[in-house]
Amino acid sequence: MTDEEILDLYERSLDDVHRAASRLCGGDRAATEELVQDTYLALVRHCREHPGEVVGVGWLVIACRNRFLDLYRADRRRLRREMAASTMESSAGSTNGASAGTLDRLAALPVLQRSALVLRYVDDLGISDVARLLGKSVHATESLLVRGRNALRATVNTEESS
Amino acid sequence: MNSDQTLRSVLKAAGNNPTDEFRNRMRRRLESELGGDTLIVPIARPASRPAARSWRWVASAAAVLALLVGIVVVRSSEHVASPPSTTSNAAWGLDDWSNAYVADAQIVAADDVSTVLVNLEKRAGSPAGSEISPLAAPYGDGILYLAAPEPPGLIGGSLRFVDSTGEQLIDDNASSFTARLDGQIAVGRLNDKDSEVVVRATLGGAPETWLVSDENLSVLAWVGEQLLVQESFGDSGTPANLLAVTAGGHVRTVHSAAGLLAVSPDGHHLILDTVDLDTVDPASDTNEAIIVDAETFAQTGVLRLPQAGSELLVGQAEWSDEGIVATTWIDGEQRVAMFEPDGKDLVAVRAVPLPVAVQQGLVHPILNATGIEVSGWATNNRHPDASGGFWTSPYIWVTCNFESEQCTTAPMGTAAGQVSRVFSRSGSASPVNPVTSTSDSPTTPATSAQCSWSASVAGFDGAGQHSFSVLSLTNVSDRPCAVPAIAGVRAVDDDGTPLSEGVLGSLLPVEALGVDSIAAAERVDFVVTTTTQESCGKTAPVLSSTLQVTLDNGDSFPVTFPGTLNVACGLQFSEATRLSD
Repeated sequence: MTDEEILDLYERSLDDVHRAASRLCGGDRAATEELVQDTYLALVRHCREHPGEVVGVGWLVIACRNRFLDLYRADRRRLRREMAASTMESSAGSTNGASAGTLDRLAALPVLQRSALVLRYVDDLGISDVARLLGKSVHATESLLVRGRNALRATVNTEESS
Repeated sequence: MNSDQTLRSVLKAAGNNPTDEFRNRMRRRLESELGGDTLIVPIARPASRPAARSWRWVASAAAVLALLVGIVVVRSSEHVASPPSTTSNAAWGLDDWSNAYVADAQIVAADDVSTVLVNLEKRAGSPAGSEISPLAAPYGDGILYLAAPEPPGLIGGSLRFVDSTGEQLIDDNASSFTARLDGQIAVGRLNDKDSEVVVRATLGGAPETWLVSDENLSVLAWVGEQLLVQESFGDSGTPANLLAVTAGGHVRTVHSAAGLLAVSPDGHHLILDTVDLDTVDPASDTNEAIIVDAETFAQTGVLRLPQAGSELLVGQAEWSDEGIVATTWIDGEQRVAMFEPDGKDLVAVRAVPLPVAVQQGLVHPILNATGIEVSGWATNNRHPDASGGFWTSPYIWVTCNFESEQCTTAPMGTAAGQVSRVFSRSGSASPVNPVTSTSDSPTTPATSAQCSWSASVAGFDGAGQHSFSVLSLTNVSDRPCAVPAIAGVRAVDDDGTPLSEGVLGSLLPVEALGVDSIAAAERVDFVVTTTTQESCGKTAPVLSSTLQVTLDNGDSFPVTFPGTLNVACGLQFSEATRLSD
């Protein structure tokens, strides 16, 4: 991809990538922006190494997710603390109206629950894949999903009724 | 939320758009990178360091989460210890049964395989939503087990007791339980607004409430007169207290942020997985397993892992007279580690890599009497699903030898002659779940190669959420044949294109045949079940009317169904059974 094509892709994809990152990061702005930045830097690296290859938004979203999981696996305890603690801060980016409650709920979840929910329901991964990516047993992942769903229930019900 | 589909939609709609400031800043950064050759300097601001109290909250919540996902402590009736170790004989902590069903598994009670052969019920649920392990424990001459909630979706299941005389309901809202050798049964209940621990002196005894909490409670194990209970966060998160409760509701805190890994055979010590709450600097944070005195809760040692960076998988440890084993995560690979005493500590001395198919770790590990082999069940990570990916069904047995450093796998046996010694740690040298069965029948069945079978569909009901079909194989040989087994079922379209690979399992109860051979002209049945696409969030059905069936002898043949199967959510086929005519 040429530099112009990369910049064009950036303009077309930033909203999607940022939203994907914010879901993973529970709405935390600093963590989201760091993740987004890493994603686009990975794009630049990839395009330099594979000059003839054309990638799209899907590649970026998956790269974002993989980067998040890399961080999680590399230092899950540090990440868990930083991200969960940073949810104490307010999110400054513009939010998709009705999804604010959901994002707030996501932010309140422990990072493992949040990750499991996003991987399962947004990225549509199978439970065993989610478990493998998180380094947890399927048993544990089931529990994470159930707890995450329960935690989100109030928000979703509220949105449904409105 | 009303369904996974709703949750999926809401989650996908969530997310923050970037601020204009970040959009511009990132654009400049990208332009700079494209024009230069370095990718080093980060531009995003790191999150500000939270107060120490925040760390504490986070660490506590994380610890509880880690604990809640499958604490398993298995104690055998052989390990009755002197006081104070009345010793729990079994405990399973599972905090939620939503959308779950009990998978196919037969549990043989205690040490006598002739006493009870229980085919755990299969409950209709969402096959794509969840699978959970058989949760059961020997109790007297029978088995206590947790059944999935009815209707599916409720949090609490039911605790039931089953023996050769029948089945009885013990508690209609149970999410965890642990039984003691003297007959006491503790149940963790998750109610709408709180949770509680109730204890019965006997099977039919009146429930006595020992503990009520706004947070979630799961009973883990009995240690002497103490009942170990995990208190965990609800929706918002609370500290992860591991509690010791005694009659009358007297509560002591074993640890404010720890989960139980194992109880020593004599009941005097516990292994806890802890989080250091007071460490603010993430770089010096340590998660470690410690050994504590079961009475004073004072730390007496640590569990040292095989190497730096390795982690224990919570809930997958066994501490017996022969040693202690636990599943660990080392260099991205899961291994079963053997620990031996080193002074006051326990040190990993051996670690055997688990097979690729068993990436989720060994659950309920059981050391054999020699201390050389460990066996346990696991989810099969290599079982294909309808979409061409993999999911974890059915369960498989894994046996690892610490001397040869090899592991073998075998299916969870349910056929006649096979024994799943799931909860027994008897001194018998019988291997866990022998794969093959033998027959002493005077009329030796023909080998599979000498047998012929004709297939038919004996029943079909596809009107509801699930379709239930019966595939019958009739022995058209002139002699008895060994019970056939289906090696694989594949739904195909009219052109023979594969649509879905079947997995072993059933949404209907399936009884074991209990015979070794099928006489000439007799038949054997297999239940075939599917579920409508809504249950797994698919938008469109995947229809098939033809199954390609492959037997374990290699025979393969198509079977045309009288109706249309919707295999969007997968396809299950049962073990051999025989349904009433």
